[in-house]
Amino acid sequence: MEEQIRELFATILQVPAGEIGDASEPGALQQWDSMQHLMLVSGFEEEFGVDVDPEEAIDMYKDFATFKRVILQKLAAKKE
Amino acid sequence: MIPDAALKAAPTSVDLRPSPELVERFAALTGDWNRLHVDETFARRSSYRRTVVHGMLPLSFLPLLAPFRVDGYRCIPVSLAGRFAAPVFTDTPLRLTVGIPRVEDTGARVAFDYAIETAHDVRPTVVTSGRVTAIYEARAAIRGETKTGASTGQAYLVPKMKGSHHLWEDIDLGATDSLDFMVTPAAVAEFVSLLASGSDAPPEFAAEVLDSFDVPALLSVLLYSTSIGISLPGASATFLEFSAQREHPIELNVPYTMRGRITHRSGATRIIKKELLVTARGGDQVVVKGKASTLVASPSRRMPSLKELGEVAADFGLRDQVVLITGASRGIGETTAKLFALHGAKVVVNYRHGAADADRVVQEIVDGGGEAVAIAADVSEVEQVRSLVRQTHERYGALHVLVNNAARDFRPSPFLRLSWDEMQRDLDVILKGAFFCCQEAIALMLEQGGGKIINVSTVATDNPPPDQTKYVVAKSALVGLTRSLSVEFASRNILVNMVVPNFVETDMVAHVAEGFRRKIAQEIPMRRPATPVDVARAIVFLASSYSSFTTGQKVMVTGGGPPYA
Repeated sequence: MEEQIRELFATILQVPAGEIGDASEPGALQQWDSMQHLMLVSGFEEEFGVDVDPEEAIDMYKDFATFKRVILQKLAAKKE
Repeated sequence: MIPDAALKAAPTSVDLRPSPELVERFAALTGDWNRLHVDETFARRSSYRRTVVHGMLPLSFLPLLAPFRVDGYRCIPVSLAGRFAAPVFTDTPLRLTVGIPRVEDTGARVAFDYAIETAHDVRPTVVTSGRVTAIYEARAAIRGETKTGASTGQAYLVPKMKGSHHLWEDIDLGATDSLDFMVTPAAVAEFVSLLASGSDAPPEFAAEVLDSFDVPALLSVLLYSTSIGISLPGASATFLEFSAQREHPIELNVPYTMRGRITHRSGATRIIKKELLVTARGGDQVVVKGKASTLVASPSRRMPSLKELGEVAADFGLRDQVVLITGASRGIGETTAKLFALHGAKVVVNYRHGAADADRVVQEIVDGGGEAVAIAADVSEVEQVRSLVRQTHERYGALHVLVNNAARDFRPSPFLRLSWDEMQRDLDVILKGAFFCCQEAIALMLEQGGGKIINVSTVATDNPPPDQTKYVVAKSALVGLTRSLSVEFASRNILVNMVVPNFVETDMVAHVAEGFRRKIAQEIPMRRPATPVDVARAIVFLASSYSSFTTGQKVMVTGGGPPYA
């Protein structure tokens, strides 16, 4: 699942998946700006059928590890 | 079959400038009269602050690029996708570029990445990027349906209509809309004319477009702009990205319907995704299918009218407010009491020793038509403070404003000769007094639903003069009390602020030698010491409706002296 998240993340940002790592963050990854972050959140919601809260969306704009953690939590909660 | 000329022609670019006239023509052609594009007054109130070019407008110029104008062939865009990364403002020079082509595995289709960049910056900004995938048909094989010769029919795709303005809350998942359109020869001719006037390409390039490019297919995708900007969500839309696939040809003079359906609604981002399907009117066959993502902006905020301002904000809001000022028998406290009275407040003049002075202040206020009462209390004694606040409440039924002004003196006390008892006395009046007064007043203010506290501090906490340890320490503690209370009670509508004067001409500093006072005045940028009126005005301001969203702050009354903001 983690790889699937990374692939979708890279696809939405239009960067090679190999450039995305846990430490990837908005400052360093040029394509990950505030507008594209909205596209990321919205894209993951649509693709995985999860709902992200506005506060969580803000938290996710930190680094890829945080982004991934929130999505994985959402997916785990969805399974329960 | 992909002609070599198409593969060898890229990368290449065309320069264009979306003038206001061009934007209007695009609006007239597509029916996308979204006010963000054509109404300066409306656009000024949007987050963009000025008119924005339709995101789809620069894409109109794709047919002018060399890979899509190949002799003997007609280019058919079978898919088109784009992402709008930044707004384009009218009259911004742009450059549309297509990159190296990539032939798909089957060899039948070729994909070109394109980018639209600002052309006037030293470092161009990509405003739109995406991909167009094309097939090529030998022109001899085409029946020539677009070569009608005469420009007949209406010169637009969609007639001008009243745009909608859906708020986020009103857009449901699954909501639908529809847009009827028809591609006429006249509309195609208008499109070609628009290309000729908006770019640096030779006019004959535009004329060739009719033969070399499947214009109706492109026009049907440009109409996404209308579906988003006029229909759903309408004026609140910020177009983010789209993708479209051509399934069948768009024929001239055939009525079509573009049906939209909201397929995703993200509350966290306020992005909606809309599926867009084009069918012949009354038919089921989808000729173009695609989707679009849009941000739904909040409506622009209307500023209050003069009448509304007059009703809710013009008044200082101090009439009949109950104001308790400690140490108000003289100096800053006395002046502040009178100024509050002039604004219609009911004033409690607290004093410790100066009964006659306090009575005089009260009498002056009453003689002037105001309302005031003098109440004795040593603010360093909790029981006396309780009595002071209780009497205030009994007399006036409320307590809206507390001004902690009481202080002992400003006489120098060199540290090595300073006793703790002296320190304690300043702390008792300035800190303990404010502590007790705040505690009693806040309890009452919480019951009332709010209130304001103004603590009189001093610039000496930032720029301490020599020999004033006790005063500076006590006032510094008052700064901490102010900050703490402001944070603790902000959510309950109790605002706690400070006024911070430097050297104020009152009795308290009468012992300071004239020469030294002149020297202090010369060092103040406004070349004079503060007057009690200067300080009183700042206190009244912080108590008034004019500081309705200010708490935990210092209002400096220093005539331009440091510290600076």
